[in-house]
Amino acid sequence: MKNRTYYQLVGIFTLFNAFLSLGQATTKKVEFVGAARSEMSQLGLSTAATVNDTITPGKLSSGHALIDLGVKITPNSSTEILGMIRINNAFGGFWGSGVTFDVRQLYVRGVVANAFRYQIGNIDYKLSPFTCFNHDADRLIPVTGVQRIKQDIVDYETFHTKNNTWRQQGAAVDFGVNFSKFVESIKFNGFIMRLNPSNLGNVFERFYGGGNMIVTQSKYFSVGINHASAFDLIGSATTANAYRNNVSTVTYQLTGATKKWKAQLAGETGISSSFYTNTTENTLSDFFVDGKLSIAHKPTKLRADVGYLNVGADFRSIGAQSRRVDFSRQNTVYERYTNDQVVRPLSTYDLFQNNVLYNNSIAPGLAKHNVAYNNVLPYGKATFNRKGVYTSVGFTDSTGIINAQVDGYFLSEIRGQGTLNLRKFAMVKAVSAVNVHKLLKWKKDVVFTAGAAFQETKRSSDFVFERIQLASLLYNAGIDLEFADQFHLMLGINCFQVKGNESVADRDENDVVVNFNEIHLNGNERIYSTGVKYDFSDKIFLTAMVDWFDFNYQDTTPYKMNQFMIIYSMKF
Amino acid sequence: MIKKSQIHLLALFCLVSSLLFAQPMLIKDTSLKASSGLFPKIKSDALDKISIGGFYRFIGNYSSMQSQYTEFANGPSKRVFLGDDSQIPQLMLQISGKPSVKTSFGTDLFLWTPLTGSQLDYAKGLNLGVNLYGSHTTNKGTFSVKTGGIHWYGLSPLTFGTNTGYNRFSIFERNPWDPNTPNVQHRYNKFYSDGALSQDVRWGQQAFHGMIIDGVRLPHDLSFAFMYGKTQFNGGYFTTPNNSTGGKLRKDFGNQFISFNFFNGKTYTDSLAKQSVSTEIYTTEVDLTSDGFHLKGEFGMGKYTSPTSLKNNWGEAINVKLSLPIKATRIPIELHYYQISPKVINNNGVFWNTSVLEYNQNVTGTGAAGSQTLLFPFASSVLQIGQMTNNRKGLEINSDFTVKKVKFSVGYSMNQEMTAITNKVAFSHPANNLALSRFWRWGFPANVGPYGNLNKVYRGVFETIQITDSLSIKGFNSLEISAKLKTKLFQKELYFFYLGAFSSVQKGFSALPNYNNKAYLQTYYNQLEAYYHFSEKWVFTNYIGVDRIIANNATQLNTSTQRPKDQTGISFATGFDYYINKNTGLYIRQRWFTNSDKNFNLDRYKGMETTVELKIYF
Repeated sequence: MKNRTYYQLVGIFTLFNAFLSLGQATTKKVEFVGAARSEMSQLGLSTAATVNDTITPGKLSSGHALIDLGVKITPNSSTEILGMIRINNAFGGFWGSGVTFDVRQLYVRGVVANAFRYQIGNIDYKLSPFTCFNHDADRLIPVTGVQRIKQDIVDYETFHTKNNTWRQQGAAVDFGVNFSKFVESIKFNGFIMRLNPSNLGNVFERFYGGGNMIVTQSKYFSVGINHASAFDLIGSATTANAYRNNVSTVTYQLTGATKKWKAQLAGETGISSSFYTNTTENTLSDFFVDGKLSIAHKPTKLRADVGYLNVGADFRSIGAQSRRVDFSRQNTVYERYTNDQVVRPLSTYDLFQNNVLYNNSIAPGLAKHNVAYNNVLPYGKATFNRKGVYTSVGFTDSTGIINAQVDGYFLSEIRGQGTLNLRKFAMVKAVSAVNVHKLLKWKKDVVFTAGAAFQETKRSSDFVFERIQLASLLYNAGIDLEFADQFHLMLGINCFQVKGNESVADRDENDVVVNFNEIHLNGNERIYSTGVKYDFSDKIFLTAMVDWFDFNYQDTTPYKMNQFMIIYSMKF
Repeated sequence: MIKKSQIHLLALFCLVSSLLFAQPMLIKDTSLKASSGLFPKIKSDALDKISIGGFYRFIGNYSSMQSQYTEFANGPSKRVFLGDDSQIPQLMLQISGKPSVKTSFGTDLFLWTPLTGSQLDYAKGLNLGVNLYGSHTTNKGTFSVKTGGIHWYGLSPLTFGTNTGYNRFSIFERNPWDPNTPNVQHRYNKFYSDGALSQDVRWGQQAFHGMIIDGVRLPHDLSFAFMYGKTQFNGGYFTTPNNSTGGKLRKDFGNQFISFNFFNGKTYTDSLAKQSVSTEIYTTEVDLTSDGFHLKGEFGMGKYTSPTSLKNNWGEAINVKLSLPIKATRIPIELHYYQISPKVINNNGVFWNTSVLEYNQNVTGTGAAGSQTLLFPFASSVLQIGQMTNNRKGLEINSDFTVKKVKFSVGYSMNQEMTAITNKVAFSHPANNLALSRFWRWGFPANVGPYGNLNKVYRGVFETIQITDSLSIKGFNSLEISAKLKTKLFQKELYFFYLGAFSSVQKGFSALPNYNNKAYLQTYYNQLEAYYHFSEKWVFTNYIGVDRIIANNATQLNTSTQRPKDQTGISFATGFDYYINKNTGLYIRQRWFTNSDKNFNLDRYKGMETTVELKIYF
């Protein structure tokens, strides 16, 4: 009996050791991550026969094949180093010509004392929507099919993730503790980013740092405090007038549930200040309030939200208000057209495929936005000088056939722009996806998606020159039909139209309004697209696709574009 | 004081509470609900391994000239050159990975240094670029896709392929792509026994950059290929389209097949992309066997269009090889007939263009990769048997047979131009070809040499002569003899390889060669090689080459001597191959060479060169 117990103990010990050894053996010292992609494209531009254009090429050809090869080294169980190089081979380069090498990513991360997680180098980071958050302000409704593929490539190229993070360089640490009584857990996040180096002259070392602490009392209540601060390092430049931007917020979440209902009150509120250390000029400080009550009916999967938003006119948060799309940039393809070589304006079509238009920097200053594409919340929820209510109603069919959601924002300015009269804003968005194959009980996927976003800006006044009436409508529809195993036919339409006038603030380098430019818009944009895609796996696909684009605005020379593309993309 | 104590007590309480109740958080926070901080929150998949192969090749070349061309007369007589002319690096890393069972990617990083003494003088880059592959197998066939960098591919000889010839060449000088062999004499033994060397994936194929989709094992024994992208002749970075499209549909009947092939290239010549230069070729290829006859043929039509050329100017292209039944002939005999109209231009096929000086929009410029002068001479050429040009029709007879220990490969060709287009004839100098090409490093200059009639191509030089006779159709005849002998000396293997090529160019067609002064040009090339495997790891290598090139008085005469070309080129060389270890070889060659023309006094040079090559595959 004694022996039996002894052997059992030895057996358990051996088994335990084996598991340990296995665990160590499966920790690979070197792994490879990254992506590879080849693209070939032929793009055409044409104008009406009556337009005098003997300069612009009718067709352009381009392409490349690239590999982002990341080597992930795990020198020990708590450390990971990743270095990723990009090898890009331009279409047309033979025998080594047209090749570039770049470093795309470099970081080290790990765990200290089995508790503190850290990362140094390239970091993908966010805090809360009003502190550090990369808003998708110019993507009001999701797209599908051809434009989705292009958009995903742009996102990959610009380091944009679905988590609304910023890709920055710096360091971050997080840790947390769990409690058995009173409080469930407390999590801490801290970060520091270097926004720009000193030029040893009049440019400061600029940093952006902060963190949060989230206390989760239970699944019913949590509260957090967030702080983000951008600051110039005094002494790192020959000037002493250093920039500061501080944002402090409180987030909270209260949840209650019954068998049939679930309710949640969540929100964020806080203050900001933005100033230079040696002057009181251009000092701005303000507050914001954002609160939302959500109710969900579990049996029907209906959900509804109603919220209140109030973001002060002088609220500034560079981590939340730096824009992804910078409308002051120019196209790099067909930058100009017609014999007058006018600059081709940015369009919805360009936003789907030109990553050069996207900004990756967190920086002071209000980046230019396009009032036609988003005049209601051009800086996302962190848009300053807005107050009002917003609401949302959503439905997900229990069988997964239909998913639909409608959002509405009904806002106004807090402070008039050049007048005491305030703009009123309305935005209604609706998106839906129908899994037709589930409805018809087909084995192969047939997914129909559609969406629309209507925006209106109004300002009433006794004076005609103060009146503003601007309305725009964006809508799209697409179908993804799996006609054979892993082969998909994609059809899509994406339209935008705008009509009205606006008075656009012209700001100086300190964001002080110095003038207003009256603009009149009356135009529409249409993208029709189709393509065939073969999915090797959920991360690897080959596609051939074509789209046609019409750009027709009053006071701008109309043009048409078309593009044929072949893309082979793999991620690993 | 009380307050301070209370604060300390509170702090202590907090600390103890933390220690008592706190548990470390998970090392990896896998909660998707985590909404702030570092992202991503979950670990992504990764590849376990990536394959790396390749080679290291050091090649150094030292030359010393006793006399050289006038253009180099003021330069140094001795030169050291470390590296190859182009495309061939010192270190090549072939990197590949498989993200899934059906897909893979690859790239090839090269590193090169000319050892100039500078620590910064390095080159890096890609040779074949970045390639992506994928395949899809169904019960109706297997489909594959290749995209990205350079893929070696062949459709059919006339549409997209390179000439594989009849293996009548010298193997004394090693090519950059020659592999190391399992043992030191394998290269020579294989050439003797098989009549050919092991070739890599490039053999008979062309470089293509873009996308290739093919399907094999389709129903009814069908297969297909489609390609869209760029060839070497579409290289460069013009933003206006400059692409090629090709494809084939093939039906197999057991060991026989018929296929329909096409290959078209289009380049816009103006910035508005409205005027284009294009080549088109459509062919049918057959491979049929019956009663001992073996017919391999390709028939098609092609045209060349440019802003200045005629529209719809189609011409024929025929390439037929018929092997006769060995029962009847006792030795293998192959008849080769070809006829390629001057209207057919396709630089991606096996035939050279000698009829139309193409509009060349290539950004890389003349002489660089992607330009015509890199690869082909533009003149009516004295060709090696098997090589075709457009504006030419002719018949070739080839045979291989053995007499005792001597293996023969003999070919005879008689062909003529179809229309009289040019009064120039191009020819080469096999004995000194490689050494001569090294006079001009790093470029592919045209119209160089003391009389401005030499054109450098990759690892070779073509010379052109002007015929002063009236413009007329020219006839070309060639006889090629390759003889290989393997014997023993002191119980060790000894190989002798002889290669002779004797050609004539004259006015009009002639069934027999004109080895007399009726010929505008007579060329006599003789090359004899000897390889002695005198120890397990050593092979002693030797070479003698003699070229005689004789022109008649109907060609351009020297203004001072009033005599035509009368050249003699002689080359003696020796060296050894040393098997250092598995996949590692050392190859040393020492060559003495001379060339002189009795009547063109400036056309003379004399010198020696030493080449050292260390090659390691891994």
